[in-house]
Amino acid sequence: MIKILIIDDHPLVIDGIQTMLKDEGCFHIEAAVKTGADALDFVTNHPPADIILLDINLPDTDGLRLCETIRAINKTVKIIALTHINEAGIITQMIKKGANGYLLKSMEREELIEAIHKVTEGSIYLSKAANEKVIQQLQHLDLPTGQVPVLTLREKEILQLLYEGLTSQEIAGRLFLSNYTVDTHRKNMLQKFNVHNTQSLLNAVRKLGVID
Amino acid sequence: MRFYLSRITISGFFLIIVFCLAVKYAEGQTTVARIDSLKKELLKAGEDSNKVEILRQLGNEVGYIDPGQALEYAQEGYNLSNKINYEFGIGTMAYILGFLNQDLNNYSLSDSFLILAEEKFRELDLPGQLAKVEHARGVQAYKQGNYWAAADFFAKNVKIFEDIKDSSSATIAYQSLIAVLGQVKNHEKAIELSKKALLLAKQTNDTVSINYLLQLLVTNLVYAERMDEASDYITRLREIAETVTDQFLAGDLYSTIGTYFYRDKDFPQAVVFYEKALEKSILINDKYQQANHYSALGQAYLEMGRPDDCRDHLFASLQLAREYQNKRGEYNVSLSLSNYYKSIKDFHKAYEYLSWHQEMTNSIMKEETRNYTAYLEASFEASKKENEILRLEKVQQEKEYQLKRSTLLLFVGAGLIAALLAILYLLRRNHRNKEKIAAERSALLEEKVKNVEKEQQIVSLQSMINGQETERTRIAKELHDGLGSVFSTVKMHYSTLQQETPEIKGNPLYRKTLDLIDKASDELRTVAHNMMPEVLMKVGLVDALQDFCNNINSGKLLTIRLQTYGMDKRLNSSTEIMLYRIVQELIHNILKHAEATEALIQINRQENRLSLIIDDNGRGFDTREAAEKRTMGMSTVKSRVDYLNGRLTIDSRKDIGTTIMIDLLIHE
Repeated sequence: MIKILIIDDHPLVIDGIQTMLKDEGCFHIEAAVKTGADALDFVTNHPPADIILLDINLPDTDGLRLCETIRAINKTVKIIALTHINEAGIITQMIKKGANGYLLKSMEREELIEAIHKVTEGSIYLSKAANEKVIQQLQHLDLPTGQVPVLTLREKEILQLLYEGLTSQEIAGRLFLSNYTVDTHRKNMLQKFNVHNTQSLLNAVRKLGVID
Repeated sequence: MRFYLSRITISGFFLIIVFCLAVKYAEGQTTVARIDSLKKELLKAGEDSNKVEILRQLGNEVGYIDPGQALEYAQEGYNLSNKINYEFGIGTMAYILGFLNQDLNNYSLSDSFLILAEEKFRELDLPGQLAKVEHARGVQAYKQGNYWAAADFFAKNVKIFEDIKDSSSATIAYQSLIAVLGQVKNHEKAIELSKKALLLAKQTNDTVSINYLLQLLVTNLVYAERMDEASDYITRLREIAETVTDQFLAGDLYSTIGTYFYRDKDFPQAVVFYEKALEKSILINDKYQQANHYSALGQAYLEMGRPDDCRDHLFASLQLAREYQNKRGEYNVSLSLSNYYKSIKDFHKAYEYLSWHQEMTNSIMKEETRNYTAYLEASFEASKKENEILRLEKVQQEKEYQLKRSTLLLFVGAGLIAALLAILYLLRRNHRNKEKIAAERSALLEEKVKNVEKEQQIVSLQSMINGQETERTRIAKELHDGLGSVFSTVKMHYSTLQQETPEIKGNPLYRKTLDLIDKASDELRTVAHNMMPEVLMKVGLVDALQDFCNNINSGKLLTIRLQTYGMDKRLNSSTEIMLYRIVQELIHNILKHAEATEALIQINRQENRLSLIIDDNGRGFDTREAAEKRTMGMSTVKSRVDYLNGRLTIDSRKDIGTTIMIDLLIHE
């Protein structure tokens, strides 16, 4: 028997889940709570559930934080996010905070049952739409750490002129920009290449071959 | 606690300016006897420049006893100078009227006189006098809390005085610059300059400046947490404090020593020196510093676990601060009081004082931001104007040079005539240039007025935008909670139906309805997402922008890269929403108009400076032409940037691309 705890503040949704699971003999809904506080109370004071279905929008807290807290208390319980939100940033954060699955509320019955079984076996389960979002994000993920920063148009020009030995003021005159703007670009570049003065910036850039 | 010491620097700082310039003008004689003999001379004087000189000295001397009366002398001198057309007199008297009005807190009158003096000295080409006027304008900015502008003025002063090799004036300007640097918390730079100025003061054996500079140096060392270095000076400061006749300085020195011990966690010693500082400030009846010293004592007692002494001192401070409208003092003591109540476990009171402190933080911060933005704009405009002035001067110099050479080649007689003509020509030319410069100056003033008007607009705009975003958040939430829940529950029940009645699967209407439900919830999700992305609220700006870029990138029309630096900590949520909306609108503009294939979004944050750059390789536009064409898209961006008190720069070139830069200050 798989024991389930539902954390969701919509009575309709709880009713829907009950309908989907009622004919499956191996599931038992232990409790349905509406707030983060009630959820924590249940987790600390009752025998542990096997599965938690967790909504991300809750009246007193958000699911990301609650997931982290529950995970800190109980390392073994399987947490499945059950939500309307389908945004890559939220999905990845949820998994990072210790969730084992991510389901959208617009799921079909089979999907919920499959998810519970998969997660119980120890896998991570993402619903089809959520999976697509995450893959899309991976495809476009720019600049993994350690890669060379990309220069903006103006940064390139300013670097070139710094190379030629011009001062910020002279560069501003040459490019018809205000001193202040040139200085901001220069400061940004120092931060991008993690250096503290113009000379080390030029050295860093030369070493990385960012400019020809 | 952080602000406390900076207040000390202020009082020391005002003292320096008032005191030192007085010494300079009166050549060291500040006695009543001197004033009497001047008055006698005045009676004998005729209506000439000599009398102006006497009135100038009187204005200076009397200014330290009775500014109101001094104002009368200065006014008389000013009128006389105008009557006899004595240019130098007009300038000097305007300068004196300027700083006397400053002492009397008539800032707008003071401003007009100082600007007048500035113009006169520029005309007469007297850089030394000009720098003194600029210095007074710096003090004005400082008194009004506009530290960035003040720093700018003082830095220029230092340079001018150094150029004309007036090292004693340079030392004074350095002290002002150091004080203002301390105020904007650039302690490292302040330390560097203090050391440089100390060398300069030692050369001229200027003991007064040396003592003040030592006080500034140690104060900044303590704040930069270079305690070892600071400790080397403590004995010396103590000796000075015990022997110096200047009670203001003595008080400040004791306070600096007290703060050194406080920071070094030697609280009993801190109390000893704060008590001495308090004693001095009572002696000279300086209510402002009394409030600060009481507050410091309260804090030290709290650390020593003597809550009753703590409470008594804090309340004494609060009363003084309120009575004498010492806003910063109130600000500091409210926080200390909250800590005191926390320590005696009266959390209700602790909360009350903390929220009061928070309220004051907001108002102080807001003021600082306004000042900073105004300064950015003014300095940007000024640098344009200055370049133009320099260019005009250069053209004039070239002409002058050519004329000189040609006269050499001519016969003596012809040469004389030519020289005469040249002088006439130059005079006319000079006159015209001056007119031009004057016109530009009045345009600058006009701009200042516009700035003030703009600020008022910003306030009403801010509340509008805020309301808009709150409404969007509410609608998004209601869509999810209401309609969204209904749709998903329908789907849950409906998909269970096929389990219970398997034959329904064969009915095409069943599948079709299921697809329609899916479509409806997808659309609802998209609408809610556009209203307010959840990731922006729950995870933060960077992840939200990454999601946004991914969505655009998957459309294949435009490839956006996102680079962020120093963004590990979240910003406050209204700033995040505003920046997100700005990016959203700018990228949509690019998609609509720019015909670009690549774009780059870059955010740099360093301490409280943040810059957002969006750069595309599109067809670009002429910024002047585009002023009208693109206003539709840009005006909402502009109002959002205004909301953040930021600065928007558009930098576009035809067929190369466009860079849009937004800088702002972040407050936490």
